[in-house]
Amino acid sequence: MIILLFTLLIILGFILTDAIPMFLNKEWKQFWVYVVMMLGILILVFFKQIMNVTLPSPANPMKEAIIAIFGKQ
Amino acid sequence: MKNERGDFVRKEIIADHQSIVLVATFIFGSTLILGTGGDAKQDAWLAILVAIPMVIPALFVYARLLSLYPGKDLFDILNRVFGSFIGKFIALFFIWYAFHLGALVIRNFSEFMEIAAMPETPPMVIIFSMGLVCILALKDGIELLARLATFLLPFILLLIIIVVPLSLTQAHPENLKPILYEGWKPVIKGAFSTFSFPFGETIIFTMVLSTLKTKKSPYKSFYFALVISIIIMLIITLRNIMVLGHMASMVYFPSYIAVSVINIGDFLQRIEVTVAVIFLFAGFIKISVCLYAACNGITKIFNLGDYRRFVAPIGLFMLICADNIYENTMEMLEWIKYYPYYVIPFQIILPIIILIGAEIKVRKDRGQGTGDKEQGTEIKER
Repeated sequence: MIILLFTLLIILGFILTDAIPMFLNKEWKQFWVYVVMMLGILILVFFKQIMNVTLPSPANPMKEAIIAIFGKQ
Repeated sequence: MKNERGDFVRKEIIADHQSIVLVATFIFGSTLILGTGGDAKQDAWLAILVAIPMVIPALFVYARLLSLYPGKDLFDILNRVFGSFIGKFIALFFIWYAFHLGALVIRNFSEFMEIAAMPETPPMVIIFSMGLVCILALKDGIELLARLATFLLPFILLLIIIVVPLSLTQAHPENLKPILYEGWKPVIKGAFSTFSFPFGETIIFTMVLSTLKTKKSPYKSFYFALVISIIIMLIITLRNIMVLGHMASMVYFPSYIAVSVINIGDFLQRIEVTVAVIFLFAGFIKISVCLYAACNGITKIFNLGDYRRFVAPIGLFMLICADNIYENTMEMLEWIKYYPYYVIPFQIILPIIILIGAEIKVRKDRGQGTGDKEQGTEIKER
């Protein structure tokens, strides 16, 4: 819970410094990309910290691909 | 100057000496804590030397790419050589590599901090603390990062100069023997892993060093940095083997353990925490460079303008990736075995293909009398 709040604070801080100038300058493409990315981060942290969901790691599929290609064990 | 979208962006310039320091610090960034050439055991120092003939041509490829298109980074080069669609598609692989490498380095350092100093602290806290510093530093630009690296490198070198002789009091040169006990095979394997980690990782700089002053600067940056980093890595590896013996290839963080055994007259001891803090400086530079490469790539292929505005969201994604990438330290060390195979496309295959494409394109443009004129307006050879 503390980490989620901490992340929320960080995201709010960055939105104030980055996204608001984009909004004021009417740079809509950049603004929406930024907001969507930040929302994505918030959702991921929420799942991880509150719902205790284990997010998939890219390491395991890569390991399997390397074993399949190089035969490395 | 104006970017492709027509926005005014301040042109960042990195001096040659700053780029050398940046590349050198990047190379020994995480090698200082993880060590390299572990497959070769007591011959790890030999593996570093054997890796040199593999590294020199690879660095030539990277430097040549930057030198062919002065003032351009890998993403611009891909766009020019392969066109917008294929160029962007290949760029996605490099963006992924920069992003993933950044996450891996953050995780290495968070595991290190957890084991060395803060075993009770959740990894997420360490990851966020480190990552936020990198994000905030990078929001001020790569120029600042280069200046910071120039400021920090003397501290790292001073520490190595002080600590290595101190740990030599516990050194046993006989630990270096028997040389080539298991033949050349483990040494070659160690050299291959030394090539991929850390030397081949300098491919990241083809995404970073577009702001150098002259056409020869990339060669200078890569090769001087190579010399500095090889000297440092050889010293550190020899010290680790002489102090720890066969344990050097078995412990998680050999340099840290080698420093922890320093005990001068029961008075000078437990200095490993100071050393760990200094090692973090090098890690900070490496993470920030990877983050810069990823941000630069994403903003270029999606045409989003100034990369600084997207450092925060991309950096936070990197931190979340770092937190989820491994379950524990054992898994991290297991992955290191696979890493040299994983990076072959990014460090060897794709750069060679891109260089061949770039050479053909440049010659074709010169034949038509268009290419150099365009490049010459941006940067002049001194």
